[in-house]
Amino acid sequence: MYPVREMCGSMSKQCYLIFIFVLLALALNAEVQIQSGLFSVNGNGDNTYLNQTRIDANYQLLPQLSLLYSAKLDAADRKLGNFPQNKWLSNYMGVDYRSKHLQVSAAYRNLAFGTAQSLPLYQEWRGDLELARKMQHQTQIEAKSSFGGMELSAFGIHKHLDTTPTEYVFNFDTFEMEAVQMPDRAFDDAYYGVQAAYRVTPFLDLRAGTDIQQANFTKNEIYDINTVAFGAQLQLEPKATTRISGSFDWENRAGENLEPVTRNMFYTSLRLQQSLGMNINGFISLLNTSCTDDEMSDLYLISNQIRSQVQYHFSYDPNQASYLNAGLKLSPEFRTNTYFGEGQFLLMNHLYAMLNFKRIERSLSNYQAKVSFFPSPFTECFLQYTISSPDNGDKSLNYLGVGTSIRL
Amino acid sequence: MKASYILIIITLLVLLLGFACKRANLTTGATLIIYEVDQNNCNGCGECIRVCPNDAIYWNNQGKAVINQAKCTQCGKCVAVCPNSAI
Ligand code: SF4
Ligand code: SF4
Repeated sequence: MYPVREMCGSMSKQCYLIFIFVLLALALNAEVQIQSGLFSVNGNGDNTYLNQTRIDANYQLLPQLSLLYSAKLDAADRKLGNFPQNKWLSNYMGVDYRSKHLQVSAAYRNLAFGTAQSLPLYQEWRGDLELARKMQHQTQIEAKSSFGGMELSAFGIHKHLDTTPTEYVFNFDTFEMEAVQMPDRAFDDAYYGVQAAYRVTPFLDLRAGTDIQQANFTKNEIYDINTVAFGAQLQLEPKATTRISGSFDWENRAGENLEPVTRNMFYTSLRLQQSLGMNINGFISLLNTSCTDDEMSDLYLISNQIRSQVQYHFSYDPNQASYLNAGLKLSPEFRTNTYFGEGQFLLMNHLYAMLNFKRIERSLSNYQAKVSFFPSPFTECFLQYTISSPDNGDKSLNYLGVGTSIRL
Repeated sequence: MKASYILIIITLLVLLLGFACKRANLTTGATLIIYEVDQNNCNGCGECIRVCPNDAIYWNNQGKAVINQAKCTQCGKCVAVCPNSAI
């Protein structure tokens, strides 16, 4: 029903391009990192294989100018877990210029959704139309200039999404809904804005900005938002081991599709970072998000959130790569409290074990065990086992695989 | 000294806004929820962009995810896939 060949065709062309880019990066003697893993997946459906590959390259063309490239591919034979696509490829190409007072960056990104499967994209907007995402392109540019305590920046982003629409029409002969594939359709979004920040004292920053988000695919402007924002950030270091920061931001957002009570948003945060000796450090932060309408008639709470994390480094590891890390994110309003813990331990020379646990309430639990062997500081070979157990009643997914990571 | 005053003001603001505000109930009967990306915890992996059914998330110039609030329908799908619990 959907143009499978067309989608997969564009994806294989992209894979071919990635290969060319990597060869080019190697020829230019760029810093290249390649990570790849192959996993056998079972549970909740047929057994399948998942390949995850990441490539990152960084080439310093001139002392101030660098070229960046990265690609990320996930490919399986069927849909896994929460992801609606079984194949997914993301590419990033960027150029970065940095001098003492000026920073300019420009980038192009694309996403290939290599799956012949329709998504409920925009379905809430029109129930009888479904759109399959094919490809997303994003171009962006940003310029930042700083002098004295002042920093000025401006950015522009253009996003273009190609889709294949399917319309569901009622067939009066069969009394059933029939899917009719429509000509391809594209959606364009534009985001642009300016920002200014001023360092009033070494511990206090003030910032102001305005940005415009335009969804250019509708004749009316109901998905557009204009934002004006002001904020202040305080950073204190009363002792070498203690850092306290706090911030307050006010945002005025004008947009037809926004709830009137969210026209003015207030974000307040407090964060305490503490290190207890060489091996243990952690932080706790409180975040509040509140809002009010244009008449400022009443203040409404959106969420209170507490985040905390503690990390302990084992001193027996000369590479300082053995640690225990535990954290939580609590928010009574969102009811998706999150708890996680992870540990990495040096077992013997060049051999590490890693254990990982994460629980998102009313969503899923993830457990992971990994053994890594490092034949050199730049090469890793690993064996990994992951269980992802959703709360929606579906069976758990088990991923068992091997992989490698190489820095060239 | 000036810094301590500002810190006290921010602390009072957090307490005031955290305890004094009431929850907003929308005309639809739903409780007001807004999904936003905590820029300090986002690593730009794009998993949220992959699952968002409304094409509501894009990357900013720092490579972090941003949610377009006009398109977001608060379905919560992005929360479950974020490896850094940044949403
Ligand atoms: S809550 Fe749903 S619609 Fe909103 S950004 Fe997340 S996935 Fe997209
Ligand atoms: S999934 Fe989380 S970490 Fe990844 S881009 Fe989205 S918000 Fe950032």
